[in-house]
Amino acid sequence: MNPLRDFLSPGLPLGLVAILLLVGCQDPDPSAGQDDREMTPPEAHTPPDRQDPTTTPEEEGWPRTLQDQAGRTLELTHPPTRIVSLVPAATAILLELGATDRLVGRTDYDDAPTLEDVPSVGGGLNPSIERLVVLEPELVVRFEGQQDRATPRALDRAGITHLAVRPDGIDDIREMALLLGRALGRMERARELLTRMDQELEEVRDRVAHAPRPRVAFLLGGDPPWVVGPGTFLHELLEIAGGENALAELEAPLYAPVSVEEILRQEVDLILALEGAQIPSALRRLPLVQLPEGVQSPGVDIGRSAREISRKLHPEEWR
Amino acid sequence: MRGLVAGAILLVAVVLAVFFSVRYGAVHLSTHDVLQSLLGEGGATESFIVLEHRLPRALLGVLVGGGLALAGAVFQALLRNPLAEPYILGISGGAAAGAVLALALGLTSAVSWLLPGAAFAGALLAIALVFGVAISADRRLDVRVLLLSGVVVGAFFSACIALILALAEAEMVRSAVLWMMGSLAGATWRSVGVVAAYTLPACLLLLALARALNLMSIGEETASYLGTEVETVKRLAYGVASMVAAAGVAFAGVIGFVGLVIPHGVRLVMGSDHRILLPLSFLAGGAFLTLADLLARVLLSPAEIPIGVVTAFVGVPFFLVLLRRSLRA
Repeated sequence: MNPLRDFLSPGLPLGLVAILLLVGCQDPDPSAGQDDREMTPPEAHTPPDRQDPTTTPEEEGWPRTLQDQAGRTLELTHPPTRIVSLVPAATAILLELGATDRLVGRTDYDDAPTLEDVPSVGGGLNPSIERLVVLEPELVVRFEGQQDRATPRALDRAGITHLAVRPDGIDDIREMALLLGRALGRMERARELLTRMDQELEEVRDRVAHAPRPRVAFLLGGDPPWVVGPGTFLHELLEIAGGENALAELEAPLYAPVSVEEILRQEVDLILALEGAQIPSALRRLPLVQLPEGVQSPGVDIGRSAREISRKLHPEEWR
Repeated sequence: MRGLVAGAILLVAVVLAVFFSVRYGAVHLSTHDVLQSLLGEGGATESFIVLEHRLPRALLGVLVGGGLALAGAVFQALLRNPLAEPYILGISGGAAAGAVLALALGLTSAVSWLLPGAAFAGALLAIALVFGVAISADRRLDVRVLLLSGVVVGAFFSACIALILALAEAEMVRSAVLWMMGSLAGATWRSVGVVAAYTLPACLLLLALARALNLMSIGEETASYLGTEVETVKRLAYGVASMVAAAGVAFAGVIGFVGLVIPHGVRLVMGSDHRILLPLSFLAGGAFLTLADLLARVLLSPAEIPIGVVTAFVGVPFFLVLLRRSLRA
């Protein structure tokens, strides 16, 4: 963790900065506020209606046109061979898709050992434009969000193609994986990844289907604490893992600070927090369950994250 | 004559500051690459970094730094007070609050000709408040009272910015740093164009007022005996100097102490003839801020220190020395 970056983000707790950088976005998006994104088994999965990359014929040739998660249209004339990923969750997917040798730039937050020799451009939000441009990428994967409006503008001016992703909910993660698969020309592997992810999620869901569901406040740290809202994949994972998000009724769709009093009022059974996250003293009398780092990454590892959460919530079901 | 020599030296300093600013950055480029890019013959990547990234930023530094120093020199003359400058008088804070409000209300996109206008409105409100407070306490505009009201008004506007950002959107929290500590990171040719369009004519106008400011720094009564339209000059100079400060704040946020340190430095060396002081302050301020930005970018590269941190590290000790002297006198 770069201390300067935290200094540059006053008011945000250390752990949260990491989450926001991993998760990317927190701006209120009405379309992200729906609470009813139930996971369906893979065979019955209905693709997101914004765009449906799954219907693309496999033998689709180049050039191909993509619509990214900012609603922008971009054209790729050939599979990009020089990629910079500003989104750690997307980086992880790119690695899974076998694109390690195509990654020429990463962020300070990517710590996979295979990426040690890949140069970093700083943070995922407001990266060093100079370092980015000098890598001469053919494709930059970036966050879509209002925290960083300068980077897309700079990329436009530099004439570098960029693909905006926004992994808020599980459907968004799914769409991101398919977009990356299409961009690389590796749809088949992207679909395999999603199938595996769906199976893992389904397994967790089945395991705790009949267990009582505790009311959980999912805290990301800070005082007042930032909490997980209903439009996020963490909310969905919590529900899959056999918990009830006690704060789902609050107005914040994504991540937002909520007063301690409000949390106390919601009759919370237990507090779920990332390891090291600061817990306000008024909430310390509630049972606390800590999650290891990595759970907050909105990538194809969410199956593992769901299992991790579920094991903590329902140790008896996992014996 | 001395003025011309000093002017030539400072002009060279500005050119060097811009060159170093274009030469060094997060990515290492050779001098050859940089020169080729400047001549329009470099590779696409080098040319982008030099011409689209570093050069507008360096030029924005010159314009904003020059404008702040010039505005500082003018405020010091008008108030006959060595500690006056846009930041300490709360004017920069007012301008930033105006700009943030305009952005939050969606009245203007980030780069727009209107943004300096909103900042200007905030700056004028700040001036009215500072002088309202100061005059209601003591009609003679005592140094201490004026500073105190500047601090109070500055704090008030900081709070306004924090409130607007809290109400607006959570993700603007990050850019609060820009408004409170300043940054040239958003520089584009367009923002350079907008700032230049506001700053350069305003600076010429202020230079034209140099003789009148000379007379007024002796005393307003003397100046009016010698044929100066004191009230007109005062209003014009306050307004135009605020405009200059506001244009800089609108695109670079609140950058402190440039308007204080630079005019005093120039005055120490060159005396206080405003016909010399004002243009030299502009050049020195431009060179200073551009170099400060270079430090801000390079010291912890690729991360950046807010530029206000650099100017404060230089400016605060200087301010304390001045304050000590002026309160003893």
